[in-house]
Amino acid sequence: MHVAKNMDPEDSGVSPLWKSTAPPLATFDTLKGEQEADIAIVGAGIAGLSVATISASQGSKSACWRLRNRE
Amino acid sequence: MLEAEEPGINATGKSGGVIASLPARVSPFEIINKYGEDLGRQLLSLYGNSGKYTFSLIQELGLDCSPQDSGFLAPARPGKELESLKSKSAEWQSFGFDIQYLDKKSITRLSGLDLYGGAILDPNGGGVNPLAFARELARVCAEKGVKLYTRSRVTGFSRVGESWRLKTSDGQLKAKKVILCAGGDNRGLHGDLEKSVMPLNVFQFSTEPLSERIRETLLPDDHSLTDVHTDIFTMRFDRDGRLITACPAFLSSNTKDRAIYAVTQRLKRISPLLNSVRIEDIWQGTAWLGTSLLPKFCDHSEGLYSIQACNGRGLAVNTLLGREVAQFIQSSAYENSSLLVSQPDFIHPYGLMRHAPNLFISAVRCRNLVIEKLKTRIRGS
Ligand SMILES: Cc1cc2nc3c(=O)[nH]c(=O)nc-3n(C[C@H](O)[C@H](O)[C@H](O)COP(=O)(O)OP(=O)(O)OC[C@H]3O[C@@H](n4cnc5c(N)ncnc54)[C@H](O)[C@@H]3O)c2cc1C
Repeated sequence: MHVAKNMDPEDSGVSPLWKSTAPPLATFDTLKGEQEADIAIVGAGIAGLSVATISASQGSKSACWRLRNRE
Repeated sequence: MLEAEEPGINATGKSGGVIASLPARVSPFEIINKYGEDLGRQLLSLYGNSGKYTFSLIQELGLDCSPQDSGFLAPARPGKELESLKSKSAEWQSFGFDIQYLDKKSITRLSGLDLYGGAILDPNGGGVNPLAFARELARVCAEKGVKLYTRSRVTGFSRVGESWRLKTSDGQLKAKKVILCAGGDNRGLHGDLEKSVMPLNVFQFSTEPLSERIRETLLPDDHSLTDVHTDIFTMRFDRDGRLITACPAFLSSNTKDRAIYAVTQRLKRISPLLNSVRIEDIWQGTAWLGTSLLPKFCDHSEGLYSIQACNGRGLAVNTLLGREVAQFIQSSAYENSSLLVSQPDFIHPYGLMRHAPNLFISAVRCRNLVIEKLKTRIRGS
């Protein structure tokens, strides 16, 4: 079992400049219950988002990206 | 996709938004010597193509993130660094990349600063609003059917049978493959990554929008600039003409007020045009440095992978690395992939070394300040 440790509690928030000039954030769900996916990406910084965008663009394979709700 | 808070909230959204296709320190020959012809060339092409790729992705997907593909400048002050800049740019050219060397006259005009003796120009670099870039990619992901969960911090994960179980406070995700992309927080997620990177604490600043008169002189063609010195100076303009600069946190300027004072003094020394500009925003983030300073994709076996933070210049290279990783994961055959798979760096002794980046820069800055003071005194006397 890998247990996540909180490494940098003192880090400050996001840039006020970029926030004031960025398009508003879309709304997303919080993970609830038990879900399933082929690939799980942990972290939506530029690295994770780029992997996700390109994986989803790879034609028919993007179907396996849709998570199946098991509830 | 599981995100602890919201898209872009950490290093990406705190960055300066400089897009550069050059690694911060390492030269092409050093990369080839260290990694060999095959892997070395892959790393070079990962870097060398990253700026162009980033802007083309933004354009192709129509991302509303103020892209400025005006080019990136890496200048050096007169002195021995100039020779190394010249040879670096010749090395990049010999590998077929569009990198140019600029003489003193050109860099003085393109920077608007009377400081530098020469520079490397990366015509495929520039800048973006990095938080907007992340938010827009998140929007596109959702449109393409990716299920992105926010406020869903992974608190731990384990192998159960043939798959992985990731736990968050309210749920659980079962997946065949896992890619850890938590930046510096990868350290907290996997034991092998705990001692793989060192923190560099950085303050970022933005000024009020500056006047046309200043903008006609400073970066008149809207380049981004980061010089090659240890006591690094960086500047670019955002879409509204605010100057964006940064300063590694320094022993004597580790609070916001002191940091603002220090950066204001520095801007004055850099150019008389910046004598009385007002800092409008300040924010702080941690850049994570591996000892190799190169991007890493690690295979932890059984379908568990990580993209490792590498240096303070990860926006463009991680964008392109993300595409390579996506293709690798889909093909899931090493033979079909051109991707560099490597071991995480191991930093030892970590307790001591984790302070190295900020201390080192602080020491160099102290020395430079003393030299400058002495020079003004000599000139004055
Ligand atoms: C102050 C500063 C200025 C910089 N300036 C530049 C620049 O001008 N140009 C440049 O190219 N680079 C710059 N960099 C570096 C660049 O920001 C990084 O290399 C790049 O953003 C790293 O992207 P990432 O996706 O790996 O990490 P991050 O952007 O840090 O993303 C990691 C994500 O993972 C999430 N996360 C963490 N833990 C968990 C968990 N347990 N569960 C779920 N999610 C989790 C976080 O919330 C975060 O959203 C700068 C860095 C800093 C700190």
